[in-house]
Amino acid sequence: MSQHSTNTASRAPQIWALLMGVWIFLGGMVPYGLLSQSSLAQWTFAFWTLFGLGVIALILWPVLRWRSAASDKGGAK
Amino acid sequence: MIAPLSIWSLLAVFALLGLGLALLAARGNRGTAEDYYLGGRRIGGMVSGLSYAATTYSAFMLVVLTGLTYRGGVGALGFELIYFAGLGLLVIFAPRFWLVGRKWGFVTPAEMLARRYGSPALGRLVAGVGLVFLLPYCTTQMAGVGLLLSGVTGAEISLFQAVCAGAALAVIWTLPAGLRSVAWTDAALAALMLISGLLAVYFAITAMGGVSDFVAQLGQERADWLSVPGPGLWSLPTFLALSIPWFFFALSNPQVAQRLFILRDIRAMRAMILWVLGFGLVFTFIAVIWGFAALILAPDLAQPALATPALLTSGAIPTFVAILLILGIMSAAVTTLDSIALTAGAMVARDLAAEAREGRQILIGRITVLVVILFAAGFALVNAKIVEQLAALSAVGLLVTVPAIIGAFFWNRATAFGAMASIALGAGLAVILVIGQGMSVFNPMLALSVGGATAVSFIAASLASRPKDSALDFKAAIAEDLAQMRIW
Repeated sequence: MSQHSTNTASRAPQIWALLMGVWIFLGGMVPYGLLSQSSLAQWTFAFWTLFGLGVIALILWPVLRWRSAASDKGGAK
Repeated sequence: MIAPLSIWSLLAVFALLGLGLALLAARGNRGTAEDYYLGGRRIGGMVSGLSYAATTYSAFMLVVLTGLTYRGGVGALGFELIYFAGLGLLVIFAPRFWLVGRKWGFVTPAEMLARRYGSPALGRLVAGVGLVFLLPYCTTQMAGVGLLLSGVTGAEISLFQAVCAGAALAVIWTLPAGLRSVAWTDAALAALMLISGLLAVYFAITAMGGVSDFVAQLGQERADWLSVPGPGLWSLPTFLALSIPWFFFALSNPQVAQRLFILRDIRAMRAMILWVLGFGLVFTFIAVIWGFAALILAPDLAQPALATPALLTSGAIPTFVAILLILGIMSAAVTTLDSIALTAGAMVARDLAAEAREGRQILIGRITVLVVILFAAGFALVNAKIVEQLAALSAVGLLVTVPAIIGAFFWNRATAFGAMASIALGAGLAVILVIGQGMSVFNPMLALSVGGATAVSFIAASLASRPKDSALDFKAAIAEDLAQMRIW
């Protein structure tokens, strides 16, 4: 179990980068593909709203893990 | 139209409050260059976050982005959100910039690259490229202020008067205390930008009968504007041409990258990112919804860039809210301008005039700030074509530093020769394609050619040369800190 957790944790940056890349690609391309059909076009604004919220969630995932270290004190060394 | 006297009175109060804040901030300075340009690396999360947001989100938002929405519809939202997604680069690079900045005392991104690759000439080249592409961008901020004030007063406030007012604000908010006064006034002005924008959007939607009526009107009268490519502007090539270079803004623009050196600690950095994300998303929606509101309340304008002045004087927005938003847009322009001026000052003092004493570095910076602001004001008035072209080119032009920045942290084999060759080649190619060949900044081949040539030449020239003995090893130097702080 712990081995599994360690492997998952070490792969987290790659998983994050992959998710971010796929999300940005979809954010740019879905409105020009799927949503360009007239029956779905009205959903473009809603889709991009969801895209923006997804970007925030993806950025917060690693940023909220950050911790201060013993050496993390203000001012230049 | 709005009476000029109301605008001048509020501007005077606004200037005095800002000056008071700047002088208060100056009391924290101890006379060192690090203090003047970086606030002694002791700026907290909220102030740095709002300052970062105010620097990033310029007059472009409520003048140009609103105009792009007015002309082309919802594609403007997608373009701006792709830029917003580029803030994801901060996850990887913000802590690294901050750690190496603290370890070696870097003040500018150019200085960081010069030391990393062991080449002062590289620092001068990066600073030079930054100045060439950033200074014209300042003129667009000034021009935005002029367009706005003359537009809402029926030209009773002239372009000259508006530009002088903007220049005066930028000078008095920057010179007293450098980064501290810029950051404090930025933070206060960011709040003004957000509050005035929210109020203006609220009143515009109310004037159309509420959200459901607004949406229904848009759907009936402007259905094309709610999808892409919409009425024509947002074709896929145009969308890509604008989105690709702007995605890298957080790394490529020295005035925002330098903000990563100012933070007190990693908690402040986390808070900064949270503030930027929150502000950025809300302000993006304000600008786009404002553009849609203008489409309904002030239709058929010949110039989309006049959408904001037209909506402000349409009668739908109460005068006090209109004046508040005008101050908000001026704030957006001035906060971007003063941040660029200060970063330009730091680059001239630290990278171009190397070896200057501390006091002299601050003096050189102050003189540069004045020169930059005068340059921006002067060229906004004369409307020089070359400056307009370079301003439009700024996002692509600054993109050329990105491979060298990525290589600095992730590729030990990268060399000074590779960085210099790629930046010189990329910047030269950008200028030749746009100014020499007349290629449009709306052509995606511009960003792809410049970005591709820069990346390939960086790798090839690095492999063909050897790292200098004086080069620093960022990766090894910060590996332990990154692990302790759980940073990827």
